[in-house]
Amino acid sequence: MHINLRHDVSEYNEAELLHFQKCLQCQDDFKSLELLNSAGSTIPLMEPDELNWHAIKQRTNHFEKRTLYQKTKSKFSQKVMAIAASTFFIAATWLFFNNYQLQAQLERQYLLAKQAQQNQIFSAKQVDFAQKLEQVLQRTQILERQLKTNDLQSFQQAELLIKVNELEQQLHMSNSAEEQLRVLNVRQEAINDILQLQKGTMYEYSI
Amino acid sequence: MNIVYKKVGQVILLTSTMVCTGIVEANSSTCGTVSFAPTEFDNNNYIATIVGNNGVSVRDNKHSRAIAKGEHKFNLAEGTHTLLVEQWRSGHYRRAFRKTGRQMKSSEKLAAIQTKTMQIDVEAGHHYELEFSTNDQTANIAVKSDTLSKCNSKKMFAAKANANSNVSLPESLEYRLRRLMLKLNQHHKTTTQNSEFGNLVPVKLNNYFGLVFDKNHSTQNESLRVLTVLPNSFAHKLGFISGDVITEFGQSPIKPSVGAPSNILNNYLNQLYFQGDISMKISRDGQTMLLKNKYIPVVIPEVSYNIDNTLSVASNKKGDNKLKTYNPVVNSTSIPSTLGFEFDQLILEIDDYYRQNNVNKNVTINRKNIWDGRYGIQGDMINSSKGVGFQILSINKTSPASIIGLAKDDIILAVNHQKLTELKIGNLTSKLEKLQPKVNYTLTILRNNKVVEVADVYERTLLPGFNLNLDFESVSIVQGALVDRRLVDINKPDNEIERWIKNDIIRAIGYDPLGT
Repeated sequence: MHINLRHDVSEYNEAELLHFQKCLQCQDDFKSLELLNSAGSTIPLMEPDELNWHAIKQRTNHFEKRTLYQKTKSKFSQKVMAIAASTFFIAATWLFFNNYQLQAQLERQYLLAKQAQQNQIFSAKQVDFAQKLEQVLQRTQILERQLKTNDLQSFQQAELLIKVNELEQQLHMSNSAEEQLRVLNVRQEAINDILQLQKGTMYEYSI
Repeated sequence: MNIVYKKVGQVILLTSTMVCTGIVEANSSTCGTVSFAPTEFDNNNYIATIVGNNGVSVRDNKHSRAIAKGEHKFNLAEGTHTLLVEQWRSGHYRRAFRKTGRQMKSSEKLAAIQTKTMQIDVEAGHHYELEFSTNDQTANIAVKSDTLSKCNSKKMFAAKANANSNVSLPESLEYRLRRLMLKLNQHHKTTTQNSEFGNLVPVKLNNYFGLVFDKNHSTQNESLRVLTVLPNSFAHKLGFISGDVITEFGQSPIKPSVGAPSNILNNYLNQLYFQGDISMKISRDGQTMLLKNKYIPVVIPEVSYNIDNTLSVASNKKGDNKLKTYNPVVNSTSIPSTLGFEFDQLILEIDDYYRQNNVNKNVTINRKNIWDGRYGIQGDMINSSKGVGFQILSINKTSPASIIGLAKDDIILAVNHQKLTELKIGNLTSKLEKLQPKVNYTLTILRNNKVVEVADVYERTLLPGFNLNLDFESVSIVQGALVDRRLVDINKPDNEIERWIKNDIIRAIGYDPLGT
């Protein structure tokens, strides 16, 4: 590995100097470098024409103006574009939001109207159911007040009691108001039959 | 302190009752023996032991080693026994009875035990080796071998009192019992494929109160509205009618709570002492009323029955050295709920009838097969627009009338074209009695003002013969065990004494009042 060559030999350190003294290639290279240096200092200086200078200067001025104009024009359009985009965005967002609100309001109004309608129907149904329930309970009460506990039942009484028990199990399991009402009405008829049997007015013969 | 004395007293009373009535002294000629063959299911060995005899706890801890090996012979007095039998995994049994014999505190051990109720008719000098068919609740107990063997012990389990068989029933109960047995026969035939069937229905508490509540009456259940009251139920006898609103239980307002209204009632009933007071404040027609009475839930007696007379004990001579040709064991099989209500109602009515007629002994009702003589219609003789007829107001199910297709309000005008001419019922019944089984017949009827004819083969219904035994003693035993106690005490024992009481009651009667 060779050392870096320098103009002045005094700039080398001791190790480099030792290497330089031993290395023939380094010494040859140093001589070539000195020759090149001395040849360069002997080349004469050349002055360009004034026209060339003028052309260069004119060209430089035009380029500077053009760049400045372009820069000014670009900044302005960007601002305009930004303002326009922002305005458009704001307008679009506002429109979208407004539309959404309007739609939500309309939907809410529709739902409220529907709910009110349903509530009206539901409450009307509830009232109707409550009234019908009251009526069937009152009718059954009248029958049950006359019903006696019966330790010894006839075959038909027992069959009716089994039917009543089955109806009551259905009622116990039922969750629908309509079903409850239906079962209660059927049960009322069965209770009436039991009562008529107890009174002996249901029929004359069993064969 | 009084409570402690009371509870100790209950235990003494209960245990002394067991000792006094469970084991009797007798000579060897009047007893037979029973043992259980060890069985193996899924590589586990199982043994069985008798813990209840005719409603009395007879747990035998002294012979636990022999029982664990399946070698112990239980001495049973000659006669009928209802046995409560536990089936254990033999390893569990050995561990449970290794020390003091009373170490069934772990719920796991209790769950591992299968408890079955069975009835056996023991003949003196016989040894019955019994075995379980499976190791689960569907198990049946059958006789593996029946051999002649002397019964040498003087201590034995007492048999049931001899049943009184010379008792009749009124016509209405008789016919209902016949029809019920027909239904049971049909049910058992479909489930067991056997034409002969025996069943044991253990004694039980009828704690159905008889009310159905309105679930939509109140969200917090501050008050409970009654929708229906079952006729003849406890609620009916207490004075409830449909539409009543319960506001207080036992002078305390109902605590608001969510959930089924029936649970609130059950919670109150479970707190009541048997034969103690029950009171409820109700609102009816805007007025407040107090319904009050004694709380005495009905106990339905133990019933065993054999349909088709397959277990006719009378056909076997006593003392005969030959082996029995009939099955002396009757297992307990559940009855579907649709039939269960009818069964319970009828048994309670028969029970009431016998008690009112001072028949307090056990009763056996023996009946042979008969044809159902009823045509299956109810109604009146009337003068219709087309002449004299019988107007139908109701029809029995599975009767000749229902088979031929008669309907309510039909008017029968003629049988086999022979018109009814008089308003007397005999005019119709005499014609119906002439009908021949398996032969076509025609009825002329007035239906919706039109005269039509219906025809079919006359099919009479065969009402099967049966032996039915009602054990009135079982009722007294359960009533005695439950007196002055509450369901909540029995179901949730809070100390060792209550646990003993609970276990003894349940094991003795083979029934947990709350189904736990």
